[in-house]
Amino acid sequence: MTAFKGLLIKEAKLMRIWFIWGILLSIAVAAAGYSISQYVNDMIVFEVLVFMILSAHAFYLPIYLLLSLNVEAKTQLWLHNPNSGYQLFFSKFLIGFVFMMVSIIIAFIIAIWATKSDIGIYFFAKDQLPMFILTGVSLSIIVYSFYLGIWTFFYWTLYHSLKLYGWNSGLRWGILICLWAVLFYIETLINELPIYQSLWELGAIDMTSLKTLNYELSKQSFSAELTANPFISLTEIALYLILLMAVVIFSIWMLEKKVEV
Amino acid sequence: MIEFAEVYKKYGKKKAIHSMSFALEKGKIYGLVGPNGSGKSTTLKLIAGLAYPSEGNVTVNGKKPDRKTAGTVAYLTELDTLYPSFTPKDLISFYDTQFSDFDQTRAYELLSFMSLEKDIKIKHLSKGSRGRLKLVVALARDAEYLLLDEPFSGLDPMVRESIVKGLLTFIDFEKQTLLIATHEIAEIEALLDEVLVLQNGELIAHEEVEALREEKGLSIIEWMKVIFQSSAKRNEI
Repeated sequence: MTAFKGLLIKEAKLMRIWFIWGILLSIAVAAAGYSISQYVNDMIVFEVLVFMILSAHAFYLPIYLLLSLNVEAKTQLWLHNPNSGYQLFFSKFLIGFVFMMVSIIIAFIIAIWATKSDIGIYFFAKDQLPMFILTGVSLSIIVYSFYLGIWTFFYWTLYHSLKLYGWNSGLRWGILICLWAVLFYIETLINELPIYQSLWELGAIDMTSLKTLNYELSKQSFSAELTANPFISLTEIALYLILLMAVVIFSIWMLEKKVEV
Repeated sequence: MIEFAEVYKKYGKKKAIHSMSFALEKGKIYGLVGPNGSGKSTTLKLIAGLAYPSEGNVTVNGKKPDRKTAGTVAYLTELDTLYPSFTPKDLISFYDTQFSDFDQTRAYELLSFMSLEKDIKIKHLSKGSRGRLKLVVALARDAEYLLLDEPFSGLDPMVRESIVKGLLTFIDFEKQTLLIATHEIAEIEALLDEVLVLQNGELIAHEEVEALREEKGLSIIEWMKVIFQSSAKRNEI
């Protein structure tokens, strides 16, 4: 058996209990929502909760990675390992990703079932296809969770690397928060640069046909409409992918050379 | 060879290691002794590549340790934190995939020697059994250097005896260098070639055990008492 396969099996065994609890929690929340809706004779509670379960999966990978990495920081078994940091990281990420996919598929099935019932009219206008929209929403959630997961790994490795300088946990948290704020500010500045705008427009694709997720609370006498940006930019996606690759490479370098537990 | 050259390690304002220099030769058994908080665990972590010096140089076979040093160094942590959902069999299978020098046959021999069952979950094992299991996976490696951090901590005399027997039976004294950090010296005194004494992060003495016995007529504990008394007098002055 290869080292990577051994790491995958170890990771799955280590985290399967959290995975099972996560699925049970999703089902329990949906069941509770359904029961409340039956009780108050208004299915909106069920629909909202099901949509929240689906949306919460945006945080699945970051939370998964934090739980798993913190177990490893305590045991020291993961870091005392001669195999490459890429193998250590990707084994965690891959198992987390598989667990997330299973969990989100279950949430997706519950959401589809909810919209197939006669109460589906609250979430979707009559001319919209729930399956089509929910698939788009789920894919966006998966991509966002992937993005957040990589940044979580970066901040975890940085936090533990700063131990090298003998700084206490309060100071290290402060540094992480400041760094997050600085990176956010830099991102905003870059987004406003004319050259970035030009690049953005260069790869822009009109997605108008896929737009809109209507959220109508008609029984409560108001309606709201969440309209997605009808344009996406391939250039922006490519730049974010390059950024994420750089973040992964730097994080693994820290894992190899700087992280202390 | 393991070498420390003027090594300092700080955690915040606290100096865990202070101006430490020594060299450990291959094929010997070393005891790293001293009271709690004297820097024993930090010293081992610096060798294992799980911590890095604030100043000075640590080298293992001429290279600065990092995470990959685990390929030549087997490290038994003082922490009682094996993966709780694993069985000993799972742990042995995992180690077998991660370390090229891991000998699965020897691991099962050790498991039997330590009277441990292979299919019980680690969370259901007693503290003594978990302590022995850590030793099983450490000793089943043919690593050049073996670092044991407090292998007897919190264990009853019977378990301690089985651990010492395990060390004597399964270590290749020709090839392997063993460094045991402990403040429980009585158990290992008979094993040691050399002893290093730490106090407040400083190496205050380094002696050959045989020379202590033959030339000074002292056991390690008697010798340590002398050292600590003279150290206290120096501090008073």
